[in-house]
Amino acid sequence: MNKENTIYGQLMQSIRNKIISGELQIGDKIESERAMSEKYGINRMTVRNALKHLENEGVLESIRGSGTYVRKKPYVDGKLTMDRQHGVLSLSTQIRQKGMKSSRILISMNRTIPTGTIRDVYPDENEIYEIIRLSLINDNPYALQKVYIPCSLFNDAERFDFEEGSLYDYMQDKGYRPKTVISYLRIEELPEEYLKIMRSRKEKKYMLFDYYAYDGDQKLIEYTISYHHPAYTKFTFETEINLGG
Amino acid sequence: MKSDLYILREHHKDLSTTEMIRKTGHRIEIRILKQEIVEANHHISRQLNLPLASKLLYVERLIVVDGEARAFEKLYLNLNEIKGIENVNLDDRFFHDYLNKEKGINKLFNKEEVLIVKANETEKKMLDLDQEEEIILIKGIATTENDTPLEYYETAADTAFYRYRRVSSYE
Repeated sequence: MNKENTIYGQLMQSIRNKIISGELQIGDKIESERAMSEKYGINRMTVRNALKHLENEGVLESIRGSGTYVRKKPYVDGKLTMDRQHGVLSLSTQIRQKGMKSSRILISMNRTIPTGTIRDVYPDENEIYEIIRLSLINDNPYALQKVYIPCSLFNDAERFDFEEGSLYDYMQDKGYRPKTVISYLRIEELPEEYLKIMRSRKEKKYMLFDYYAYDGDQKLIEYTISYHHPAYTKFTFETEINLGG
Repeated sequence: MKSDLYILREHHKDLSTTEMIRKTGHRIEIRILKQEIVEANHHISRQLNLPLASKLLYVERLIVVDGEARAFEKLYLNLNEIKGIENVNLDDRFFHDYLNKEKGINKLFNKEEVLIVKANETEKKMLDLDQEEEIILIKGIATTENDTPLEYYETAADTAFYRYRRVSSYE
């Protein structure tokens, strides 16, 4: 069984998360073994095992006669996980949860008549908003997103601050929420027009997600094309293969 | 430049890769390059949740479509769970058929991680790539309905060969 799936592994991750999020600071004393054992209803040896592993990692330090203290922040895998649970939504939340700095730059926002591929996506819309944003992790370009939302549903998007604010907060204000998202991943180079802003070079490959978000009434409320830097992206996927029988 | 044929990976799959490609009318050939019994090292034993040095069947195979090498695979098969597999044709159609008919396995569950990495020398040679080219690397574990790990695999392919489609629901 992988360590992460064991009880002590789960306790270790819980303590790590508290340190990363700031709930526990360096120098803080953590709860005693007995307190944790009672609180979580688990064996005291299991708690001791978890704390021992974290001491070995250098995250905690045990001082005889005093207690166990936070010594340093745990190593964080700096990749954002694109899996069934996290999907393509709420990247900034994931970034912050990993203790990294999340920021965004609004590149452009236009109200326009859909043409080409966007016309195929929104065949019945007279106008759409195109919102192009750059997401950064610790001030490094991580993802370039081109979001297309229909003006028939979101007719005052220019009043909203898409640099600071969440697209989904805006949608929710308007009474819409994505309930089903169909996403596609392929590997491609960045379009030349975005190389400079992403601080990249021509041959570099990116994870290109395009996704269609539908509300509870199966109405398409968002179409987004998103280029993700692979150094910051972990894409996981599950397949069920029917062998017959 | 490689052909524009690609494999779309989705959550539910009824056909093997070979069958999917054949249905498109393209020629596919699975070349088994190596097949030998090895002992699990630390990394592989952790992936398959097996003791160190467990016996595995190690297979290298090349997927060739219309005469072009598109993917190079390394498979580590759990001999403890699939005894006799070393005598089976490892084209995936036969492999799936064998698991179903001989071992009574009806479903396989694959969990994969997808990366973009620089091709190493072996991968460049196998896939006939230029210097410094990036590839898609898929690392996966196949398990049964009982969560028994059967196989760990690493698939290196040109970046245009695989795409993914996912449907997610939110509350």
